Amino acid sequence: MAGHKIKLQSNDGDIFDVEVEIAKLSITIKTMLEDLSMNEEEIIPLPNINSAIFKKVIQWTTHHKDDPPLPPEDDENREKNTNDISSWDQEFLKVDQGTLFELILAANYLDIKGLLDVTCTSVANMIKGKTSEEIRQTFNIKNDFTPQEEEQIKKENEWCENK
Amino acid sequence: MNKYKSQLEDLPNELLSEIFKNFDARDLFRAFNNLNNRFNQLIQSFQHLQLFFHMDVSNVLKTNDEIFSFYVYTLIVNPWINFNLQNFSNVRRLRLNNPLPKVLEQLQPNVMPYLEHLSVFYTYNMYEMVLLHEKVFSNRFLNLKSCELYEKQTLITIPHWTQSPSIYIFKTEFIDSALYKIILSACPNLYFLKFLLYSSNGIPTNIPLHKNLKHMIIELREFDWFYDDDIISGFLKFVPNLEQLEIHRRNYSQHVREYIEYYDWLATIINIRLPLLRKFFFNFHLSKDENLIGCIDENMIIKIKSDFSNVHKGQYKAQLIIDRE
Repeated sequence: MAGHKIKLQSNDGDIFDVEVEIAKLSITIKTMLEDLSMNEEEIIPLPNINSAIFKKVIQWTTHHKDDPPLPPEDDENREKNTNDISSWDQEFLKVDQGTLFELILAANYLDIKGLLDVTCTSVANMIKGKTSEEIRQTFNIKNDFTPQEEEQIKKENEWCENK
Repeated sequence: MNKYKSQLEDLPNELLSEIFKNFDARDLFRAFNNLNNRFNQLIQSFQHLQLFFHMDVSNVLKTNDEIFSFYVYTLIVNPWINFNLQNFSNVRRLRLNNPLPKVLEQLQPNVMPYLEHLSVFYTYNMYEMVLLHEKVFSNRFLNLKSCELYEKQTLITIPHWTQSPSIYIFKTEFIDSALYKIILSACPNLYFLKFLLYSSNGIPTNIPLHKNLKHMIIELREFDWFYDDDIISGFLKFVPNLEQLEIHRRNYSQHVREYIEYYDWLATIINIRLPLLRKFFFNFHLSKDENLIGCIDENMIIKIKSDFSNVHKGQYKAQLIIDRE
């Protein structure tokens, strides 16, 4: 049976009907509904998320709606297993870089820990095994060092190479 | 229409940190060091990133002079690895698994002055462990808050221990009554204590009351439940402010039914010794061994659960957890 729905609006004006139970995987939306006593008939605006990204978020939360809650991160399990991405998530995350970073921002804004973890892990896996120079090219990272700083870095590298 | 595509650098520091948590220190520095000022600042602010470095055999030869060592916050070292601790001066959390004597020797307060959490697992005794015990329990590591010392016999104590007021958490394996007394005396602010009861030395005597200990976990492996319980009662006498007690009892005996028949699951001891107890957990681990599995059948488990809830009717919350392992 389909569950009760609420209306959520992306920043480009599209309105999405989303089942309450799925929407509540977002702690931000859950808080709006429960603590701020928002009426479920009201349209809830999501000013930081566009339609394309929100569609992806709904796709992810729908697939993961029955997942058990994540264990708390404590001293014992602080080390992460970075390869731990399910095959469904791997397929879901076959997107361009821009979409991946926007998904991270959306997961953070909506406070969906599972989505945030898996998107961050995915970026980490893209980075692993690359040199600094490869990362600079892959992610278009600008060099803002002064000539003096460049000189210092060069010296540091020489020192390392001589060891 | 807005065609701008987000980039890695558009992420705020808190989200970059989330990504960085997936790396150990070596990989992180290899990837991001000297890309630009923002990344440099971020990866070097170890307090926020809590850099891990998991040292194993394959990277042992390269670790001693790498640039990231200084920023490592958490250092985990696999067994029997020879390396230089001197370069890891900012470590807060250190885990050594079967350390070499020459590595232990280097673990001095001036080498790791900020050390807060220390875990050492070792399978045979060595003189360097005795020296480490002395440093731990004589306030040489001024910031040390929690300590795990796991070995296959009781800790070796020496008479020079003074006191370590910074230690709040201590976990170890075998503790007898003599060692119990020494640890309570050496750690006046101890809040949490976990240990395996080693009952050969009888009941402790003449221990000053320890009023800061609030949470205790005791593992029991002996066959004689009633003797063990006498020792536990003797231990609890000196920690009257305990608020949470957790027992792990394992069944290795075919005579377990005889104990259970008249057992009060520590209710009397708690009533006498622990007026401030708020939570009591009794973990009863049953063996999967074929010879023992029949000793406690489903009917017996129902009786145990019923007995347990009947005897624990105090002000505290009591819970019995039964499993087979």
